[in-house]
Amino acid sequence: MSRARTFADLATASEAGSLASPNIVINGDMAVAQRGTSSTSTGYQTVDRLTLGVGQVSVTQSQQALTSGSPYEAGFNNFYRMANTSTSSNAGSYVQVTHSIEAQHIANSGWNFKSSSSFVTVSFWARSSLAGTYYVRINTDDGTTYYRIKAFALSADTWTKVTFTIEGNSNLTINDDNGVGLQVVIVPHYGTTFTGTNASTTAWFTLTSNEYFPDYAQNWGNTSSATFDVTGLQLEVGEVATPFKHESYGDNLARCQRYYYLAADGDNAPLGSGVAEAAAASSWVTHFPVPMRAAPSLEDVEGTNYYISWGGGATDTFDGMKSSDTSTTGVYLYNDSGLNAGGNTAGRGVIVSTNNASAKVAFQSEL
Amino acid sequence: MIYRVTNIKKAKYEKRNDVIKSIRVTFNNSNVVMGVPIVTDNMDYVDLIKQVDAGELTIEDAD
Repeated sequence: MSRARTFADLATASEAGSLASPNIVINGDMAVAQRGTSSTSTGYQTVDRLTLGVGQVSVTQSQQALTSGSPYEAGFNNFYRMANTSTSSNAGSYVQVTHSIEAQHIANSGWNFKSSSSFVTVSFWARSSLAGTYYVRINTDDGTTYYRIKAFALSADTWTKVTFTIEGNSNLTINDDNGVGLQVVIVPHYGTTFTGTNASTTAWFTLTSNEYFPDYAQNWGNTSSATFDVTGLQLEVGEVATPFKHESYGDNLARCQRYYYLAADGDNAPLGSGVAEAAAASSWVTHFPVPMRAAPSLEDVEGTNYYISWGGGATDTFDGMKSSDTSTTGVYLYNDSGLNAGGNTAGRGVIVSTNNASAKVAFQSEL
Repeated sequence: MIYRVTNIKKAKYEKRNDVIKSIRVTFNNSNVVMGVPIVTDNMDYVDLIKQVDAGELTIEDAD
C-alpha cells in the first residue's frame, strides 16, 4: 500500500471516528498465554481468548515468539501457531481458531449492525507454510446465525496483512448481554463436508448444507507439518483498518482475566484466607482481580497434599478443593475429608496456599 | 455434536450446607478437576446440560 493511500485511509478513518475506536478483540497481539505456551489439545489451551477447533487431524497450538518479519516491524512480539501433527484426507476434517466476542461489547461499540451503511473491520497478520487461498469468517450467535466470509491469498511462509470490512444487515441479532455476540474464525482448512457453492463471498448468509466456505483449493489438513500463524487480530468500528491499538501487557492481561484467571500456579502460591469449621472442613475466599464475564468454573490440579492450610499452630495438607456460591467477583472454596483434609482445629482462622510445584488453581468463564 | 467439556470420567452434584452449589467434574487421564457453578451463563454448565439432554452424560446425585 502506498503512503498516500495509507494517509487517505487514515483521514477517512479519522473523519469516521474510528481512529479512536478501541480494538474489540482482546489479546489480539497474542501476548497473554495464562494457560501455557504449547498444547496438543483443542479448545482454550494456550493464547488467551483463542480456542482451537480440530476434526480428523491433530494440531499442536502454541504461542511463539516473533523476532523478525513485517508484523515484528509493526510492533508484535508474539504469534499464535497451529502446526499439523497428524494429517487426514477425510472430507470431514477441519482446523480453525476462534475468537468469541461478548455480545454487549458489540452492542455498545457504536456499530449499527442493523445498517448496511455501518461497518466494522477485521484485520490480522497471517502466514502459512502452504501457499493458497484461505478464509476468515464472522458469524453472529443470537437469533438466527448469520455468516460473512472473506478469502485471502497467502504465499508460502510469508506474512500477509488481511483486512475484512463488514457491513451491517437488518437481519442480524446481537443482544446487549454477556453471551456470544460475534465470532471471528480463521480457518486453515475445511474439508468438503463443510464447503460448497452455497457459501456467499459477497453478503451475509445463513448456513445451507453445512457449506461455510467455497471449496479449499489446497489441503492444509493433509499436509504433514504444515503451520499456520496469526497475530495482530483487531476488530474495530469503521470501514478502514487502522493501525493496531497496542496496549500494555498489564492492561491486556486484565481484559483477559474477565474470561480466565490463573489464581495460583506452582508451590507456595497464596489462595486466600478463611476459617476451619472442623478438623476436616476449612473454607476460604478467593477474589478475582476483575469482574468475570459470568460466575466461572473452578479448575484445580489435584494430587496428594497439593494444598495446605494453617492457622493457630495447626497445619493441614489436602488434595484439592470444591467451590460454592461462585459470583463474578469471587468464590467460596472449601475442602473436606474426601479431599483428605483433617488436621485443623475448629474455630481457628486459616491461610490457604499451594503446597506442590504441580498445584494449579484457575477460574474460567470463557464464551 | 461437538462439546466443550470432553473426556469426562465422572460428573457429580456437590452440596454445601444441604444446598446444591456446583457440579464436580473429573476427567480421564488428567488430574485437573472442574467445579462448575449452576448458572446458565456459565458455558461449561450449559455444555454439561446439553450432554445430559442428549443422553450422553449422567450427573450423579450429591451425597
